[in-house]
This record gives sequence, C-alpha cells and structure tokens, in this order.
Amino acid sequence: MSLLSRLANVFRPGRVERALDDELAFHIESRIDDLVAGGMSRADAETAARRQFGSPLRVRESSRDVKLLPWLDALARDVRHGVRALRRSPVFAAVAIGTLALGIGANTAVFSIVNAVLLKPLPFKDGSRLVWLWSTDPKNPAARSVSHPDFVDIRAQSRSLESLASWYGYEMVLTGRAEPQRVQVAVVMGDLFSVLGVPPARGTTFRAERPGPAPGLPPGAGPGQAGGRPLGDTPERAVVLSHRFWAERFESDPAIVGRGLTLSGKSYRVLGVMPRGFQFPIQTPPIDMWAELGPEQFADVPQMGRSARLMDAIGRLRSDEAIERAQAELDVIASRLSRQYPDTNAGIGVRIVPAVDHVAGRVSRPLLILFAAVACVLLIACVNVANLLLARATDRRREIALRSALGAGRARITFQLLIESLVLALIGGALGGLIATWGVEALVQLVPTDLPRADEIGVDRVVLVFTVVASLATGLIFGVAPAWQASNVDLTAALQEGGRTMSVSARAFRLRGALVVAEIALAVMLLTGATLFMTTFWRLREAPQGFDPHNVLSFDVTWPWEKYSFEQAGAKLRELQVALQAVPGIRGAAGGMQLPDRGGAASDLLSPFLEIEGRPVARDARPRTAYVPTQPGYFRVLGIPLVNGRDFTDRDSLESPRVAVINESLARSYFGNENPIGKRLKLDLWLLFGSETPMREIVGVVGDVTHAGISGAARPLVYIPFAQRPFNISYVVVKTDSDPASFVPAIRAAVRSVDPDQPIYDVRTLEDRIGMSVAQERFNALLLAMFSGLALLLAAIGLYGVLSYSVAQRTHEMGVRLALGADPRDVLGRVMREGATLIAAGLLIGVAGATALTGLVEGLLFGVSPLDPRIHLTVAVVLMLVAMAACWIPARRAARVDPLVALRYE
Amino acid sequence: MADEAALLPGTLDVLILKSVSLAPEHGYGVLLRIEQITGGALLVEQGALYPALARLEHQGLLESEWGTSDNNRRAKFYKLTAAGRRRLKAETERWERLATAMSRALRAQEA
Repeated sequence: MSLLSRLANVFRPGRVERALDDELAFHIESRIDDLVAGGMSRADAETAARRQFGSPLRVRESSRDVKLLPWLDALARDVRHGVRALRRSPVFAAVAIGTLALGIGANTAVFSIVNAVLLKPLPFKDGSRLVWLWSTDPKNPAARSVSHPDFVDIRAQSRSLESLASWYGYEMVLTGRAEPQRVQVAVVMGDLFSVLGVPPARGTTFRAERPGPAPGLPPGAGPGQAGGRPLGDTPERAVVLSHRFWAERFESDPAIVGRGLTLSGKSYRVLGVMPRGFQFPIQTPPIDMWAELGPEQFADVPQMGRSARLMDAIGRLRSDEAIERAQAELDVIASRLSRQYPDTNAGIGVRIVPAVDHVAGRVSRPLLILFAAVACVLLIACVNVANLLLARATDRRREIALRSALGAGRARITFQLLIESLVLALIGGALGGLIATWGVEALVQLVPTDLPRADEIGVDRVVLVFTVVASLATGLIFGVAPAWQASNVDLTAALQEGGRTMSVSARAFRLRGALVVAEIALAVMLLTGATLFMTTFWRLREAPQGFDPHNVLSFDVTWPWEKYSFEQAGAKLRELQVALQAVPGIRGAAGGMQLPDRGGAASDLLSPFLEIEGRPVARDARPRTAYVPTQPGYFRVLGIPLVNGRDFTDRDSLESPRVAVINESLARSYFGNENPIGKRLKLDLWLLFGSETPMREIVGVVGDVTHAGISGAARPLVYIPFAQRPFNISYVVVKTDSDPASFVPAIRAAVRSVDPDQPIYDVRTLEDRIGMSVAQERFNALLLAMFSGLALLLAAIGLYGVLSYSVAQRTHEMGVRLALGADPRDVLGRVMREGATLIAAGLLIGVAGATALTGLVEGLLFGVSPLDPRIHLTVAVVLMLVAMAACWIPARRAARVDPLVALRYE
Repeated sequence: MADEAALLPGTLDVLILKSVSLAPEHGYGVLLRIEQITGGALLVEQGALYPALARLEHQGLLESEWGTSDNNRRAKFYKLTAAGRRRLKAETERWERLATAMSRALRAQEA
C-alpha cells in the first residue's frame, strides 16, 4: 500500500474499517453456512462461528494498525484529544488563543515589512548577483556614487563583472497636447536593462554603446551651458517608458513605440515600454522613463568628469565569481586609477555590495529593532500562555496521574501535552495570520513614504511560511516546560489526594514566578525603547527650528535648462516672485535653491570649500560648507531672524559686487566675537562655480535653522543671492494671510503667467513637510509604543494570573489566618509583597538589559540619551503602577476571604 | 484436539502465500485451504488470519480485489503479486532446508 493511501487512511479511518467489517462478516457468514450444511442449527452455528472467531474488535484493531502509520494515527488521536481538552475549558482556550493570535499577528505584520524591504530578492533576474558599485572617498564616507570616466575605466578593465551600468536621476518637463507634466527620468549609461536582466514588454531598449546625446547633466553638475558640451538636436534621442507612465499618460496606447515626445523642449523617440511593475532605480516619486547617456557626453571634459562622482552604478557579477574576489580585483583597478590620475583619484577606492543590502541600507536597523521588539511581545505572550498551562496542569494532575497509572509513559504524556500546546499555537497562528492581513494594510498606511520597496509589502507565501514556523516555534517554547513539569507526577500522592484541594508544588510555583519575572523584564526593555523613540519623535517635532512654518506654502519649480540658461532661469524666477507678490493675501514670496529643512546639499560632494580672506589654509585642509542661493525676502517669508547687517536686495545682481549672508553657526565657528560684517569669504567648487570664485562680502548674519531629522543639528551655512548664482531649480516659499492651501490656484495662475509650459509640483505647507521629514521616527515611535503597551498589558495579565492563582490555592490558609485573628490588611500586605518581589526582580533585570542594549539604538535617537535616568525612572513608575494594580485585585480578594467559607472547603 | 499443532511462528505467512498461489482466494477460503493442505494438522487461529492478510498486503506480497464468492456473497479475494511469488519460493526453500536439517538432527539422535 502506498504511503499516500496510508496517509489517507489516517484521515478516513471509517472507510478502512467498513471494508474490514465487510470482510469479517463474510467470513462469519461463510462459516455459519458450512456449519449449517454440516447439520447444526442456525442459532448454534452463529454462536459457534462467532466464538471461534474471537473478538472482532481486537481483530479489527490489530488489522487496522498495519494499514495506518501508527505514529501518525497516534498524532491524530492526540490532536483530537487536545481539541477536546481545549473545548472543555473554553475560557482558558480563548485567553491563550487570543494572546497568541495578537502576538503572532503582530509578528507576521512586521515580518511582512522586513520581508519586502530586507529579505525579498530584488525582482530582477538572478538578483543575488547584482552589486551596487561606488567610489569610496575617505573624506566623504557617506558618498555612494561614481564618476563617469571612472565608470568607463572600471567597466573596461573588470573581468569579474559581467556587465555594469550607471545612471543619474533627472527631471524633465513633458509638453504636448496634455497639461505640461514633470517627469522623472533616469539617464542611463550602459545597458542597464540587460544588467538587470529585464527585457522590455514592448519595443526595444537601448543598444549597448549606442551613441546619442543625453538630455542633460544632473542639476549643478557644470557651470551652466558654458561647460563646452554642444547640444545638437538630433533625432537620435530615445527614451524607454515605464509601464505605469505609459498607462497613465498615454492610456496604454499600443502604437506608442516609435512615437515622438517633446521633453523639456527637445524631441525624443519612444523605443519601448518596460513590463508592469518594473521599477529601477527604486525611488519616490517613481521613475517615469529612462533616457540614454551616450559615451561621448563627458568625453570633452575629462578633468571635470573624473571628480564629478554623481552617478549611481549597478553591475552583474559573473556567475562563478564570489563578491570578495570581485572586490579584490576592483581594489587593484582603483589603485591603478589613483596612480594614473593622482589629481582626482588619490585615495579613491571602489566598493561593491550586494544590491539588495544597498537598497535597504538606511532603514534596515530601525526595522530590525522593530522586529526584535515585536518578537519580544510574542515571547511575553508565550510566557503568559506557559503560565496558564502550568496552572492548568496542576488542575489536571489527577487526569495525568490516571493516564500514567494506566501505563502511559512520561514521554507519551509529555508528547500529548505538547500536542495540545501546538494545537493552541496553530489556532492562534491561523487567527494571527488573519489579523496580520488586516494589520499589514493599516501598517502600509503608516510607513514612511520614502521606505524603499514599500509597495511590495504584503502577506505572501514567504510570510505565511513564517507564520506557520512562528506558530510551531511558539507552541514548542511555551509548551515544553509545562508539559515536562506536568508529566512528572507523584502517582500515589496525586491519586490519594482525591478531591481535596491540592497545594501547588513549590517547584511549579517557583517556575511560574521566574516566568513572570522574565516577562516583566522584557516589558521593561520594550518600554524603555518605546520611551526613547517617543522622546526622540517629540524632541524632533518641537526642536527649535529657527523658522516659522505657520501659513507658509512651498512648491518646486524647475526651468528646463534645455530651454532657459541659468541666467534666464534666474530672471524667470524673479518674474515669478513679482507675480506672486501681486496676489492679494500673499504677504511675501521668495525662491531659494533649497528649503530650510533640507540643510544644504544631500552629499558633501556638492558642498563647496570655504576660504576666508586673510586666512590662508592648505588646499587639502579647506573646510566645506553648505550654501543656499536665495532671493531677497527669503528670510522674512520664513521668519528667520536677521541678527546683524542686511538681507539681499534686488541691487545684488550679476553686475554688482558679490555678497553673502552667513548663519550664526558659521559666524561663531569662524569669527568668534569678531563682527563678520564686511569680512570676505570665497566658495570654491569647480563643479558648482567653475572658475568663477570671487570673494564675497558678508553683508548679514541670520539665525540658525536646525534641520528636521536626526542629523539635523545646525551647520555652518552661507546664503548667496540667487541672482548672483542663478539656477534652473528652485523651491519657492510663500507666506499667506490665511490657510495657505486655498492659494494653490492663484499660485498656479501666477506660474502660468510666467511660462505656460511650466508645471509646479511638490506643493505642500511647510508644516506638512516637517511632518514628513520625521515620518520614520514617527513610525518607529508609534509601533514601539503599540508593542510596548501590548507587552505591558500582557505582563500585567501574567502577574495577575500568577497571584490570583496563588491566592485561590491558599484560600484555606488565608481563612485560617483570618480566623485566628489576622488583620485583613496583613493578608493583603502579604500578597502585595509577594507581587512586589516579582516586580522588583523583573524591573532590575529589565533595566540592566535595556542598559546593555543601548548600542542598538545609537544614532537613531535625538535629544535624549539612552542612559538618561529620567527615562528609566518613567518606565519604572509606569510599570510599577500597572503591575501593582494587577496585584491589588487578587490581594484584596485574599483579604476578603470569609473564614467560614474558606474552612468549609476542607 | 491433541493432534492439532499450533502454528510455529512465521509459518502462517508462508501458508497463506501458498494457499493463494494456485488461485485467488478469500480469507475464509484461505483458512479452509490451510486446514486442507495440512490435513487438518495445523489450525489457524481465525483472529490471526486477517491481521496477517493485511500485513502481507501492506508488504506488497498480496493484492486484493472485491468479487463474488461461490455462495454468491461479496468477498475480498487475495492473490499473489510477483513479489509474493518470489517470497513464497524463497520461503519454501528455506522451510525445506530447515525441515531436512531438522529430520537429520532428529534421526541422528535416534541412531
């Protein structure tokens, strides 16, 4: 008989038994026939036949055992027995299953995020072989980019990388029949799509090394159009569209391939459309299309190119190559480049990491902390259920002793009890899975919008496997100790005690006490973490920002440089400022290259070197500083106080002497008590300013703006007049009299009056923007608060359970005490002391644990130290209050025991 | 009943295989045939027969089919599989060797 049919037999024992019954009946009837034929009466024949046959039941049992896998059958019996046992105590079952469902559900929900963001392979062919590549610069440890000429050399020289492609993000404006629209473009060098191993859904993609002009350098990558790059308007320009953009903008027009588009005033041809769901690079807002960067783009400015480390790169390892060997080879290439180009590449290395790690890098630690926290909640749930089981096992001592007396071995009984635990855990897990499918949807609403791969979060097969494994592990964790303990019964004692109230064995009680201490300790640690993250979030929200975001609206406007020179863009922005200020209700409007909460350039690479007149410093030792070009009135609109000197005016133009305004940080760091007004400084970075690095006179000092986010302490900052360093990208801030959102139509109209092809976007109040910048911290704080609240509740329930059980067991003792004249307050005090001992032990261990784990949260906190005694004190007080409340109820019950009733129990 | 020997352990399986080797047979038939083959010398305990049949079927030595018996009742017929035939041959040889050895040993004692 095949294993399958035997398995089947386990689940349909009825069928097997019926067939056996038929066969046995035939046997008996045939025997009767023969006996009757031999001359016996029918009745005698029947009796004889049956007697001869023996017990049909026994025959059946032993025949069936062959057909079923006996252990599986035993398992099925144990499961049925477990379910029956649970049904007999529905309250216990409901509490245990509910606790487990919450714990497993929360874990599954958080795991689904961890899975999508950290674990799932990137949705590309052989995603594990994809590596992120960048140049390392000891001076800019955070930099993660590569320059174009380095990229070309690495690609030509590396044997271990099968292919390599790079790109940079760029924005263009799509015009045509519909409203002008800003589109996110990845400008690609090399065959990105074959590196990723994803073919287009329609049409073709770029052929490798296909020559053709790129749509543009990244913003700020060169000194305007003077960079020496001829911009021919050839028909060779081509783009590949994302499926989403094709569907949204072109309504999935099947004839899209080959069509022409006008992007920022130049024409492009659509080569193809990528498949649905393809996203690369993964960013917010998502990429709409990919354009191609031809090989000659940077060729005419090699000197600039090699230090312009502005491109991201991704490569594919050869299938037989280990990442370590590839890294060793790249180290050789990097040191060769350093020798060959000492000016730009001295000390510059090349690094590769698995692409999936890179994508998740920034968010992995907070996520893992959340995961650890939610795992702690599950552990506490386990402890609670273990406690319930221990209490129940004491009640079931007679049943177990009876089974043991009837010959069940200790292992058999342990197994049986363990199966009961697993049944509990699996039911809890199934409910938990349901909770998680709803919970994940709610969670996705909460996750910060910039969480990479957030759209992949969901309950999928991997998550379900996790749930099942977590349930089984949970069942084992909470089941083993109680089962082993319970199976260890002293037969005679247990059976002799009969119906009398049994006293709890001291050992079982000690075990339960230890479990409660453990869960209090875990809850303390979680509470500490949650308090730290909540404090961080509150501090960030209320941090003195140095500006007044009330009634300020900001939006982003980009003057495509294909259409406007930087100078023209500056003039356009001035036109826009005038148009906006003419709108009734708008108190002021000004453009700046960045918003105050951004804190300068994203990367130090775009931070210029600072030189102060009369203080010569070696070229290599020059400090860097952030800088922001702003229009006059910027400080007033944002409420940044002018501490000294003056704001820029319209007279600070390209024709007038160069000026600068510095912030207090810079004034303090570089001028101390000196008056900086009238001093001169120089900003120098070829990438940004080319050779135009005049001395700028300091005309004003303004207050510091602390930048939102953890890295947001105030940094030295130089403001320069937008008109003296015009740019094609700017944010515009508008201060209004009333609700700024109601001004959006008027603002759109003002922009259209300046350039009808110009979209505005990223329109938000500053208050919203600040909220977004602390979204990650908000998410951390919110989830940790929820988890630690749950942990606290579970720990309190656990404590309550142990104490009330202990009180119930000792009702008799209490009765005697009270009958002998003990003060009810003494009885109450005894129980409270018992609880307080457990609480104190848990608290001590928890605080010690939290202190030991401070390293985990380093760098994720703001305005609070993980060792702050106030934090620990707060946690201790909260925990004591809740825990003492949990003790109070059973203690009061003990004090109110009626001695008569208690003694009658005997 | 004195001349009815109880079955040696391990012999029942061979006897069952032997009795279904000629033609498919139902359980009751197997019982009758064993009594007939051994001339009533060996009595099969009826309660042991069906577990043995199930065991042999499970081992793949027998296969079964529901059919109609001589007395027009529904009965389960067993027949040998190829593996069963091989096992019967091997067991028969083993028994013959054992029987020869036994009789030699007994005769030697008599001598």
